[in-house]
Amino acid sequence: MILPLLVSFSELGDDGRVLALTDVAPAVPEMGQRVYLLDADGNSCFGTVAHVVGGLIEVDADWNTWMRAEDAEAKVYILCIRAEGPEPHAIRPNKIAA
Amino acid sequence: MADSAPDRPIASANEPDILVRAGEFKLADFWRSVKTSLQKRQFYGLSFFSFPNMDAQEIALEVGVVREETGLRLIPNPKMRQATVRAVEALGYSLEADNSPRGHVTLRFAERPTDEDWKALEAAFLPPETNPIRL
Repeated sequence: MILPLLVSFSELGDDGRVLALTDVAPAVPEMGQRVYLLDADGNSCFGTVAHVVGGLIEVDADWNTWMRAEDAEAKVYILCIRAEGPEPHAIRPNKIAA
Repeated sequence: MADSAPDRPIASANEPDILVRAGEFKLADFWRSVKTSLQKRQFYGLSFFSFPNMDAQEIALEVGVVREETGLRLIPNPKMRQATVRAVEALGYSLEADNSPRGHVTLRFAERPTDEDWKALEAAFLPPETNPIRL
């Protein structure tokens, strides 16, 4: 299961990692776990947990998966996160309905 | 509540330096940022970028140079906001140019901020504009 984490991309760690807080995470992920990073503006990307230290989850973001909130195309997509697949899949709602 | 006078003021009264904040600076982002800062730096704080004698677009482009220098994906956000140093300091907040990385400025709260702090700060910033180095 890919864990969604609410983050601010405005507050990167010193090493450039994206930081999330354990106390608002749905669960505390393990090192190496894939996570989905989402900010307050609706921008998102996937990443891999590098460390969990104290109350911070440090994530190596996969910037190749960066998705802007302003991307109208992205807004009509539903991210279907598969527990068993290696990568998430973006599926159009009408294709789900079909 | 605002901190006391800054240790290293980043602008004199005659230098209307500009602060750039990545993102749209919504309330939820404010709280994620200040709480992340508390965990990371042991104080409630917010991150900005500023370079002397540059407007907001120039500052963002210079952050792009810092990005190349450091390999850090700084301010990837599609939008950004700008305020003057003077406007933020006039609210009683302390700004410190820590230059880590280059151009980075920290607003340090003396104690746990409130939604009222966000409202005051948010009002000091111009509406969101396009970030020229957005990912």
